[in-house]
Amino acid sequence: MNGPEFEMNEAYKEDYKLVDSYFAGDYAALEELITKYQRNVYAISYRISGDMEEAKDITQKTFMQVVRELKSFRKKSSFKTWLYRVTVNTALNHLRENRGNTVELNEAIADGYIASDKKDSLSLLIEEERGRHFGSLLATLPERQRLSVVLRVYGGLSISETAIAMGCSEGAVKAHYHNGIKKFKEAYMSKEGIL
Amino acid sequence: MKRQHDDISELIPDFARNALGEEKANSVREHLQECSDCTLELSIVKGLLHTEVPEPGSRFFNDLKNSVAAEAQKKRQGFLLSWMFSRPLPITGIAGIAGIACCILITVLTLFQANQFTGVSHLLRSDKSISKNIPGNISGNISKNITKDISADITEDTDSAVSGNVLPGDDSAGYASIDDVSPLDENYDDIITVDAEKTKNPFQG
Repeated sequence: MNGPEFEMNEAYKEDYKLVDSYFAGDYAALEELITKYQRNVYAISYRISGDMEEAKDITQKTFMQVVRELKSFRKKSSFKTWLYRVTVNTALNHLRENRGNTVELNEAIADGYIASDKKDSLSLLIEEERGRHFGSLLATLPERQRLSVVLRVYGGLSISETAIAMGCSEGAVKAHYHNGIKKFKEAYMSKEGIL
Repeated sequence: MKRQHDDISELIPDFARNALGEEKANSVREHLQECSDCTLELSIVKGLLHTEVPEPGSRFFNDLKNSVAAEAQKKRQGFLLSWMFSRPLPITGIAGIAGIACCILITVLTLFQANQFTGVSHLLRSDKSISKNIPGNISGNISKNITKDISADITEDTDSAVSGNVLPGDDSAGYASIDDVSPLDENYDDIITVDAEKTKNPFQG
């Protein structure tokens, strides 16, 4: 255990072993790490960027960066947290390069979000519509709020892990997350009749 | 109450993904029954989880793995050296010491070849000429001196001279130390012969 907030579990140990095996010359270990996390990284990239092609570019750049920087991974956090930090930094750099200094999304891009559930029932249609609406709302959140919501909700990171991934304090994560969710609540309340 | 609300609120994303243990999940359920704010947050998080990303194409992830593996291979080639020198002994030590030893050996051999007919060879020749000349000179001088000394002693002390057993190392006979002259010297027999002749009673002849 490397810190009060970092709980070592079997999944983390398994990742550490794969990292060590890769450094010992086992390329299969690297492939296993990629296979394990490539969909998560792609999903996080997509939720940050809101665009499939950009998400693919970010995913590729992220894993290239992982190969280059893996030696700097000191095992002070889980590999997943470290990987998400690389993902966030790569995504923000990519978006700044391609969109200028502001990384705000518009609703047209955000409409790319699609609902997961294809079942034809009224409740699922409502959830689908809600999901689409939340997807577009997520894309309009300020960068830090969006990152905190994406990492907490989709990434499955705790407050402390999100703080590591975002490179800020836990208090800042709580504030960003709270403010982001608050905007969802306001939107939810104002559209309660529809949703 | 506020403390519990904050604690539960932090658990809502995990609760929505069914990623909590039973005990924590129960405490969240209990809190949700009396907290509309957390109930609303749970609805929002569940709504967010219903948004899904489009599939990037069947080949994307396979190509991704291959391109990253190729990058890793390239990186590995440059990484090997830095890895080797970041390892503790014995790998780094052996490799480093062997490399340094090879460099020193090559340098010394090169210098030796370059200086074979200059500084180093002169020194070697001087050493050889000294080693050749030293025994003869020393023994020659010693034999001369010894003869003189013994002759002088004989005239002064006939009894000791008559014994004729002047041995190397016998300082009382005025002979040089055994360190200076040894039976292996070329002139040793001459010295003894001369001494024997000299030790005959001069008054007899």
